[in-house]
Amino acid sequence: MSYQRFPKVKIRELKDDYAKFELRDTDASVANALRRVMIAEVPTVAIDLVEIEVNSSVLNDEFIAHRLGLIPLTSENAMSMRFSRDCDACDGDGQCEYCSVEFHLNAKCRTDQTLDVTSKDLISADHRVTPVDFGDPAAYDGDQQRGIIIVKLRRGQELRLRAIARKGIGKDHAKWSPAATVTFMYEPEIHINDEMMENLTLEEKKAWVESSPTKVFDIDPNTGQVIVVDREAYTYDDEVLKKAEAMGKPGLVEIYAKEDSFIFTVESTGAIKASQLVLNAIEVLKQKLDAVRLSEDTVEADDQFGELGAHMRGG
Amino acid sequence: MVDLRRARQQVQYYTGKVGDARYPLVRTLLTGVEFAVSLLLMVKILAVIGLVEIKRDEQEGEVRIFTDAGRILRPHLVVENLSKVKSFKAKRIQPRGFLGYELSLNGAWLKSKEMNQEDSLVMNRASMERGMFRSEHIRSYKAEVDNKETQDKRRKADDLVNFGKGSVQNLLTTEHTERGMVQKVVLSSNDDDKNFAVVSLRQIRSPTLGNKFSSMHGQKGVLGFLESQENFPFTIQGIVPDVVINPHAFPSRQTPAQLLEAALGKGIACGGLKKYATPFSTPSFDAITEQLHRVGFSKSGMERVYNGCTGEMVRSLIFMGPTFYKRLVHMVEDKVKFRNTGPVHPLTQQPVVDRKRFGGIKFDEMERNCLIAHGASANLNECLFTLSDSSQVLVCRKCKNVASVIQCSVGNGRKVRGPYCCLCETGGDIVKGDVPHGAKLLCQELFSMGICLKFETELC
Repeated sequence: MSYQRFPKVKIRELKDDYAKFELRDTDASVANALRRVMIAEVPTVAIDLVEIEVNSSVLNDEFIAHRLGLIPLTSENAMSMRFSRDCDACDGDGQCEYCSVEFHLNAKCRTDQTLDVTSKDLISADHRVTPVDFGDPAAYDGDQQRGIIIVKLRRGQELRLRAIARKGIGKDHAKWSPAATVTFMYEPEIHINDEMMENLTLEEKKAWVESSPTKVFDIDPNTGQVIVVDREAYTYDDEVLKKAEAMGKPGLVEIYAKEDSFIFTVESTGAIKASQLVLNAIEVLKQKLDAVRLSEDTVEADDQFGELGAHMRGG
Repeated sequence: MVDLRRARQQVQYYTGKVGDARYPLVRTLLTGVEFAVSLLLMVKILAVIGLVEIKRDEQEGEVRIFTDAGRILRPHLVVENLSKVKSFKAKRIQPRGFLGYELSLNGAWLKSKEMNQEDSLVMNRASMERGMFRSEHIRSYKAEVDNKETQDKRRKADDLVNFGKGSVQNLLTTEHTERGMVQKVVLSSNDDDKNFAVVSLRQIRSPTLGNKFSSMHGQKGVLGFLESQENFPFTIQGIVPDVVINPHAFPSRQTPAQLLEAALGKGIACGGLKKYATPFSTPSFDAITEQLHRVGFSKSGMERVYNGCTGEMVRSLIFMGPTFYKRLVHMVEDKVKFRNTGPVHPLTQQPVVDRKRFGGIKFDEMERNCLIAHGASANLNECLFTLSDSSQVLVCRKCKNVASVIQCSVGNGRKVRGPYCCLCETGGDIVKGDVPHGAKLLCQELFSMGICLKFETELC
């Protein structure tokens, strides 16, 4: 007997850094695996090594290095890059085209006005890996810098450094996590007991409808009936159930969570597009499953997956 | 150096330019016709403080106050008749790289895999890696340095001045557990012609297991576990808590204020309104619950969360909200004690307990009781004997007294070293037994008072 199911995905909303989609005909385990992979295992590129040449700013070297690490870099090609620990072609000095990208920052304040050193001052050696641009291209203003502020310099202070960005995953350090928000909810199924509801007065109906902190129910102005306006606004906070009980009407409404359909909300840091984040997560998940499938045949698994195979066997 | 310092003391009024290195940081600008009033007031106040310079710029119509950072942050500066001042132009404070010890963060109240029992808390590793509770620690070391060259005649600017050349006796070393980067080195002198070198070491610390944290309500606890973000519970909106604390900390401590703080803060964070939260005017319970309800949470502030490991809904509702936590200065890094071998106490031969001298942790009576309760007798023996003051004693089986090792002559001028009982005057029937050095010491001390201990020995 086969337990194979064929999950369906329906995309509701898709923006560069935001995606909302339905995932149906599958289990919580799959949905959660997808969520976990998106947070912790989809690779991106982030600054990992910083060599500071001059730093006369108010922030110390470690502080600046940490801030640099947290700047999201465009990582569209991170999936095809190598982890620097697996890279045979280099010794990790940042000159290698397969595993690392070099950045330079050179800033000095020469005026009386405070100079903001932002992520836009980071000069990348590879045009595919640059600090994420949060500026709205439609409302572009030439003077306005909209990068992420790294440090502020006053007159005479200087910051000069070389940084090497590498591929990594969120499990190693949160700076490599491409996900700002990944969450899902079970699709709720709401049944109003019409018979009981009819016996309520309009005041009672109103009080009950308002007991929900989110707008799930409403009263039809024409018929005076309680209707479900937005099923998905329900946050499983049980407030309406408690209210019904407090009114002496348990069973007024019955709410179930559908076990096999989920509504995902994905927000990306900007390192990769939200849609790409989901696709990459599926790809990583597939690789992991393949590694499990092949783990019986050790040699073959090692050939195909290298370290990942050993990792899956618990090595 | 001393001359320089004296000369500097004579310069009473430092006339610095704007943005000069010496008084660069805090600028408070007042503009207006009535500034004379406030200026007078300020001069009065600031004269008390000292180290502050006030300048009047008539062209700009400003009063400029120059101090170093932090000097006039708090009530030192009082401006009366503010309404008469035409415009209060700017108050600019440029703080020098301080990192927050204290943070307002998102706390959840639940038991998490028993990793937060007994007041310990579980923290989100991703939050920590993003900089939560990361702090800078600076520790300075001051040592006297010899400087013979100060007696010499004045030096030219490009002469090399050696400080503390060849003096080793004033050498200061860090403790064996201390580490850090050199933040700055200051060479200075006092009026007694002594030269000092001050070296500051800087260290960046992020939370580690065992670090201590506290809320504003005395709910302190140590970090018990750093959990990854993906394993943390998450809400429908995707909010993941930074800290998870155990609800058992509350009933007996009677600090509901922290729960009120979180509940009120949650409503404020969502609604963007300011609320008074002083002890004198706490918003009523109804105001807090109503506010929460308005912004889309249940009245109690409880939320449905999903288990991050399985993706299932957690059966009970979880209370979550912003709470102010601060890091206390008790950090494991300052307290680690470890040794395998190391110095022992000269009298007792037992390992020293002092951390500064590479000591260990004392295994005492309560710990002993614990091991007895576990029945771990071999471990107990090792802790109290082998790893401590293991030593040997010689016992004469004939007279049951302690024997000693001596050198005695055996005829023809040869001398033999070996065990010898001075009471029986023989080296014949002497056995060696393992005893703690403490027992041996007691035996010797009693012996010196004329009390003799006798040892029954048995071969085993």
